[in-house]
Amino acid sequence: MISVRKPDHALSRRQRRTLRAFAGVVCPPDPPLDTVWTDVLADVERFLAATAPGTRALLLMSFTVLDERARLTPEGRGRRFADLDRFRAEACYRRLARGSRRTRTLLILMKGVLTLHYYALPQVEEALGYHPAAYVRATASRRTERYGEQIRLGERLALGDGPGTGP
Amino acid sequence: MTAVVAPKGLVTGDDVPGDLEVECDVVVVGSGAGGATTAAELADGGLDVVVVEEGGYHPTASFAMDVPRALRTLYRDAGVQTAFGRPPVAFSEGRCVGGSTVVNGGMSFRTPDRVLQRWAREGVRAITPEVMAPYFERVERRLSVGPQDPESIGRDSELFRAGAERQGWRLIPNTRNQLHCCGCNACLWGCPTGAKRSMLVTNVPRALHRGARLYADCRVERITRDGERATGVVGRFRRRDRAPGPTLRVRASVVVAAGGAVQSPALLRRSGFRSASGRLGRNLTLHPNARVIGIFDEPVRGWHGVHQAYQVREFIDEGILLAAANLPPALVTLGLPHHGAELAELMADYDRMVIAGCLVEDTTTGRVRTVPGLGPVVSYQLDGAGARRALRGITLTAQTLLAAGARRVLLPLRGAPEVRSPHELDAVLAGPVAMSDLDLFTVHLMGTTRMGDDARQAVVSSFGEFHGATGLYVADAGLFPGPVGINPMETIVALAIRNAEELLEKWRRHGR
Ligand SMILES: Cc1cc2nc3c(=O)[nH]c(=O)nc-3n(C[C@H](O)[C@H](O)[C@H](O)COP(=O)(O)OP(=O)(O)OC[C@H]3O[C@@H](n4cnc5c(N)ncnc54)[C@H](O)[C@@H]3O)c2cc1C
Ligand code: SF4
Repeated sequence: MISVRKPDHALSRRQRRTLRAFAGVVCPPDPPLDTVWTDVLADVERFLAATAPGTRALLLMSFTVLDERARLTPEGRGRRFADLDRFRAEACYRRLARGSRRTRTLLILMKGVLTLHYYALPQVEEALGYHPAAYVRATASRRTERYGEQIRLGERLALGDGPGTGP
Repeated sequence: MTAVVAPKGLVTGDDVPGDLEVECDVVVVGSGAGGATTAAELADGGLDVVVVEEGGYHPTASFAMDVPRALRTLYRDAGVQTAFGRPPVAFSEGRCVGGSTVVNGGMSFRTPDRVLQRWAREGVRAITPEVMAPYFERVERRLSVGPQDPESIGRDSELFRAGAERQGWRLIPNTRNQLHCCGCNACLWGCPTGAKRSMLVTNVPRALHRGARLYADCRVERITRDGERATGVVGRFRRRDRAPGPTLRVRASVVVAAGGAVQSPALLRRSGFRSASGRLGRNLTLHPNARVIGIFDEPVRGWHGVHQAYQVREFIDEGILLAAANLPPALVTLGLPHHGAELAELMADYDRMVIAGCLVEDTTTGRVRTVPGLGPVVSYQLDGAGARRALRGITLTAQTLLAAGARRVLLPLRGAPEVRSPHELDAVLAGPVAMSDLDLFTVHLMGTTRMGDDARQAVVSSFGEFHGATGLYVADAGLFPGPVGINPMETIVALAIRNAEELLEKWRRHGR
């Protein structure tokens, strides 16, 4: 039997559940998270793997701390954040966001990781009217049409090959 | 993923089957602004040069506006680094062939005369504006530094200009290292046209063209030494799947550390070099930046047009610069307190936003320490004067946006409400603002291996040679004795040319 090994950077099942619960609160309602969560999570995991070990540990710890901190809130009443329903989770998040400076900092960090990857999804960018690839293509071809010869000259200059390239 | 064909002389981690030993005249650690320039100058001068770069090789054709991918592949630690203090200062450095120049904004300015004169007074030889002028000219010619073509300037920059002009403030059109930049606004994610003349498309190919060899995906772990003489470097390759690869040993007569102002002092320390000045890793300056967002009634399309076309220079004597610099939606969300539906509502106005910011000259210094297992740890504690300056920069930026017609302005102050008029801005700023509520970031790290002739004050000589060691140089932003007060790249490149010239001269005189 072929065993499929989880990539080293994959989060644990518990961490994924926690992240999903927080994402349900911090990410916008549209497009619905369920339809894009697999992509967001994959990007978040890759992102975390590319951070420094200390940063990764801090971020992962902040997910756990915030998940557990929910138990102490009136909304949580002993339950972890990941176990709260949508409305309680929202209320709990707002309470945490009004909490100590340290809690707020952890919350901003975690929120940033999630919204960064949500808002980088092509469909979300498109919905905002932001479609940079087409713009890059259009302006790049205008550039070569207008300035092709001067560009080639400048490129040679950088290599030290063209006229006027002495010291 | 399609395989990337590397140019001749460039070896990537996937190309190396086993441990490797090479010899050369000079080994340069890092291929950014300082490293690539040093390598090109020395190779031009006939020396056998090897460059070792921790980051990967990503050619122009591979660049797309894919922010998460760019953060993972072109930036160190996915672009998330922190200088610890209250408030912490978030910072980013490039890690790829070409270093931070691949992801920078391309602003290219000569070192202000007042800064060069200050550095001369602080013990750096041959650094007057007259001495430096020919080096700046060379940088500007090679990197095509010049003003933007008018069609590349976007509405966000024009609105910002109008806001500054309405207040009678002095503003300059930015000069950038670009060759007919088309204004596609992708500078921070790798320029997809090659118009930005980063090291990837200038001094790296020039060095290779002159016979230099470059090993990418290889982190230098230490500089080898024989007593106080540097004898080469030892590094380890990383495979594309991030697995550790074989070892690289380079034997060289001269070692040049050009890993940037955070990595170089850490490398020197872990290699056992000490500075009698006690300043190795100290004297860090970082130009704290803060971001202010203005929301307009009209569509702005900040992503149409070059990243930063103008700078407000009215307050340069106070150590403050202002500019508009657009960011993609994903990054705009990062510092915002909004979440869920509120965030969606705010971001629906993305196309009406002008994202601007201030850069302030440091009033204090920080430090890079090396912590086993963690690598370099950066600390920077803003002082009262720095906080006041940052707050003034934020105020001026907000005033510019309001004068330009912004209906709402978001301030980088934790807990501060949106402001809609100069009156509301005054009201917010009239109250006490805790230093730790400032939301700061930076991309300019400098000064941790400061230059100067006095070994009791400086880590390296006026030409970058490490005091107390032989055959060891530094050639990056660490050289600056103090903050340069403007975008630093041109200063780094000009110093690298000047110092390489001196090194070549010495080599010819002494046979090495
Ligand atoms: C997003 C961003 C925007 C910026 N915008 C501007 C701008 O518009 N104008 C401007 O003037 N400046 C700008 N800067 C700053 C400017 O790019 C840097 O100051 C400059 O590139 C620093 O040059 P350097 O040689 O010190 O280091 P870098 O250019 O950062 O190069 C250092 C290189 O060394 C490598 N390295 C480090 N340690 C090791 C090791 N142990 N082994 C092997 N390799 C190693 C790194 O991977 C890196 O590639 C910006 C920077 C960033 C990040
Ligand atoms: S605006 Fe586009 S073309 Fe111009 S330098 Fe930036 S990425 Fe390159």
